[in-house]
Amino acid sequence: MAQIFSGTFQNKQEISSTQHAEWIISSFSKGNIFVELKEDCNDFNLHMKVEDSANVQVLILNHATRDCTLDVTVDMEEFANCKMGVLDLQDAGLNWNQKTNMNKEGSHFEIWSAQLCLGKQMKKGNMEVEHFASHTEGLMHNFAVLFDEGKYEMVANGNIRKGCIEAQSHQATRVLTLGKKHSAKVVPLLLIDENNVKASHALTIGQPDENQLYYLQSRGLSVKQALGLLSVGYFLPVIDFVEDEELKLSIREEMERKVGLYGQQ
Amino acid sequence: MSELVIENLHVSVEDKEILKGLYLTIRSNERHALMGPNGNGKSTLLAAIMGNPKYTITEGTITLDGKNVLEMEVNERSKAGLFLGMQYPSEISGVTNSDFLRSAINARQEKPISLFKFIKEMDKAIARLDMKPDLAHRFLNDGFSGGEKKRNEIVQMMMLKPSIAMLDEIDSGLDVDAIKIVSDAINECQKETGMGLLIVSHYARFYEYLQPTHAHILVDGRIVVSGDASLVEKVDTEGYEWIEKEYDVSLVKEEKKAPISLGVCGAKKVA
Repeated sequence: MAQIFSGTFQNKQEISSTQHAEWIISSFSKGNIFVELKEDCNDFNLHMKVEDSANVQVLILNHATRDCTLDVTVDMEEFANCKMGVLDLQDAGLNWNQKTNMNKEGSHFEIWSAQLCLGKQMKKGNMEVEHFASHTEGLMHNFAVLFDEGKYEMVANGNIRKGCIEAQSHQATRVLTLGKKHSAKVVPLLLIDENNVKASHALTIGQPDENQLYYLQSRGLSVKQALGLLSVGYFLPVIDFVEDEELKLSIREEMERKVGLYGQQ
Repeated sequence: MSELVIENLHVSVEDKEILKGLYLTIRSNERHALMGPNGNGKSTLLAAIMGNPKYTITEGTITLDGKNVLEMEVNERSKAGLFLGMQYPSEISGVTNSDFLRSAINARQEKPISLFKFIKEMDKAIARLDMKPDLAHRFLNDGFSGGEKKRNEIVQMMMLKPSIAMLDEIDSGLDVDAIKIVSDAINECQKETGMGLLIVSHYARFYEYLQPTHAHILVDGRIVVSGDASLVEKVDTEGYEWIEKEYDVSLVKEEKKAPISLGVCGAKKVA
């Protein structure tokens, strides 16, 4: 049975082991949902319908300590607005499938992800924002930081069907590779079957600039701390989703510790 | 009392020797003006002291309070008390000034600086340099004007409180009023901390504000003349050519890069 969110809401969901959820964000309602995938979570399947003129922000924080699957499907109705973040700092694999259907005119969807790739754990993402209506807008921002032997794969697909005039699909993926023996594969796709649209994709994969590294070191930061600091910027846009200042500070500290800002990882 | 001692320093860049046996000693509370024509090794000296990996020390020693600087990593040199205000500071998007400086301060002390103390000190430095209050939240040098970058270097110096600070053309890109503000901040910082200063600049006005206790002229990788502030005045009025005659040295002329052709333009020729 679907869980209905209406009016103005602030909600927290804790997901353990294997769970399936159906959410409906009612018309003209507005709110935030914070989802924590708990340590023992191994499969979370979410279907969310964002009804006409509803406005929702969702942050999914992965705390699973073993390989986990995340399947998210979002249906966007007329003038619906959804901003979604996925923050994954775990030393464990994540297999993430994300499908968003821009069903009705004027809907706006954004996905922001930030993933830390440690050890030999595979972080695999496959996302698609498919436009079935005119004047819809889909944005995908994916950030990843890879340390020694980190593995990252991301297929991001902006798909605009015929007749969806003035639809917009934009995506940017930034991958920072630190350490050795890592692998990163990013496939940005734009499938467009309509002329009157706007679309773009941007992709950067690379190591930090050696001048930047030297500059940070010249102020007293070790190589590890400097690399940590350079990677902080990749996570902040998603951490900014958190409204609760205390929680935000705690997540930020967790991130800074894991990227080695305090000298250890 | 700190003392930076450089003896017989030889430095190469890509197998080309730039510094050819340089001697210099800087102590606390001293202000050394380092002058010389472009391309003779001033910036190379500062970068080599700081440990820039692009520069290779082939001979000589650098010690700070008796400790071998050449054995230290770049960050260790900073933590030992050296500071280089750079001519071209890096722009780092995604890292805010406050995060960067707080990490830099925490890297040199066992107990992290309290947020209250940090904000207070940073606000004071920002106000002292007459910069916009949002500096702390802006990304490090990202989108900064040339002058803002240079002032930000001084903000960092004030926060990190080095024992020996080296400033590489920190006045370039600053307007007349800003040069005064920066000079006053440097003077105040030295008064508070007692740091020694090594200042590279081409402008007598900047040195007028800073009142060097020592002045040196670096030509072809060596310091050929040392003296007091009157040397700055002499260079300002007479240039460098007199050095060639009096000291039997040749000024290294900066290599002018020839324009590079990018190939044939893809645009169609119109007949």
